Amino acid sequence: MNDRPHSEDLAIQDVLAALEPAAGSSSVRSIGPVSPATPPDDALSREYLEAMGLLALEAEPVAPRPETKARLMAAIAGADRDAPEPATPSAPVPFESRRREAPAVQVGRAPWWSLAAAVLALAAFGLAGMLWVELGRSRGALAELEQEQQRLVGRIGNQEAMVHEAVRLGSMVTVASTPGVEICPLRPVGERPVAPGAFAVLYMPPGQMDWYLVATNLKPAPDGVYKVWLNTDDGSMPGGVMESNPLTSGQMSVRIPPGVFEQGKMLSVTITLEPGAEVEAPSGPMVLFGDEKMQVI
Amino acid sequence: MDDRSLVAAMAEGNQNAMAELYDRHAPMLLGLARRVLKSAEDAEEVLQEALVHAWNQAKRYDPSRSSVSTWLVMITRSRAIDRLRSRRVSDRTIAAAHRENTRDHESAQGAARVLHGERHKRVRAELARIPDEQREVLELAFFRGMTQREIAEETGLPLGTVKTRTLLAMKKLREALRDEIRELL
Repeated sequence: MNDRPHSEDLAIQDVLAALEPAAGSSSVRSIGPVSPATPPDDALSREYLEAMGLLALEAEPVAPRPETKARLMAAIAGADRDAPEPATPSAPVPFESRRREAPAVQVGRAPWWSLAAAVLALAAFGLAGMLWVELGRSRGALAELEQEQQRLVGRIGNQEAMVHEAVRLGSMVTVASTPGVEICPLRPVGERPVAPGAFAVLYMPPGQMDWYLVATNLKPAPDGVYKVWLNTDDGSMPGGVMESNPLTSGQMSVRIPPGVFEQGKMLSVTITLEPGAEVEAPSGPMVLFGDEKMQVI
Repeated sequence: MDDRSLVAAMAEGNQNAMAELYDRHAPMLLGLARRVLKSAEDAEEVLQEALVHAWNQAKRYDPSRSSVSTWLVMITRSRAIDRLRSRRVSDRTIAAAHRENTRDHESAQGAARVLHGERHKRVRAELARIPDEQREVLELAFFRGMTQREIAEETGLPLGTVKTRTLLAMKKLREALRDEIRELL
């Protein structure tokens, strides 16, 4: 009996299951490198995974705006300031190869016009050499200017990110002081909490405003992310990933866009420590939990 | 420098490698995020999140598990689906996204020509050969993150039919893209 069709179907089901949102931890499996606990894939599963990856090419590519790249580079520069500097451009081409082409000057036997021509040629050659050296210097200066320009672009990107962050903090203050806003405090759970001193508040303003979940004394996870889950009768819905706030040390937050779900349906809020943001269902240790809602204004 | 070497350099903290990887893949990833989210703004945020994640996780990338492009696609898709399921898209947003998509169409085609060129055309041509009803279930699973049960509800087809079509579609997809897959392995 040939069991190839059976193996192939299993490989397909494996890849499909990894793509399904309800698959929970298995969703990480298709992205093997993201999870250290990933079991080895067989060759057939790998081929189907690559086929699914190529399916992305069906979408029309879109050229990102230039500032998107600047923001990204600023973000990773902030994440790793110890990264090595770009390599400096190579020095100008040496002059020796041209010097070999210069004609030999034979003063003793040459007629006067030949000597004059040789002197002129030597002068022209010397001038060319000076120009060549000057060109090399100019190239070096240009390379330095390009490096400076790159540094400035990086700084501008950083400043844009800071302005963006300031606007976001302003929005959080507005939400927190909106009449009718409800809050839900989140506290550490269990006998040996993951983040003992951490505390968070979910701000739920009425109407179509963003919600904010703000945590204090919560340090960024060195090997994973803090993912927010909004728990209802229908299960846990992802509410985003907690991110550090560059303007407020020791604070992390996440914005939850309006319309994620109806406020009355929410029973509790959970923050879990997950290996990656792509996890589709809570599977890691619980960090903070809250199920009390109260109106403060 | 190939993609794997770029990711290895990123793992060592080389920001130039990140910039190079961005230039190579960002248009394709942004197109994917837009296709999922139907929103230019959300798609750019997802692209940013996905690539920051790739930067942070570069040390954990394992070339024996997937190619770099598939790794990036899966991270971006996952982030986009996550966001899609976290929000209820209003008609206004869809309309705005449609307008933006229309406005950007010309530059998008330009990006496709320059950055993906022949490979992109080849893949799309091969995908077009898969029967419509089979491609539909694949697209619903991949671009909308739907389970097979959800696809059955969405299309009104019996669950068994959805499963059969998905299996057939996957086999034809692998067969059609055999050469492209070989390049990635």
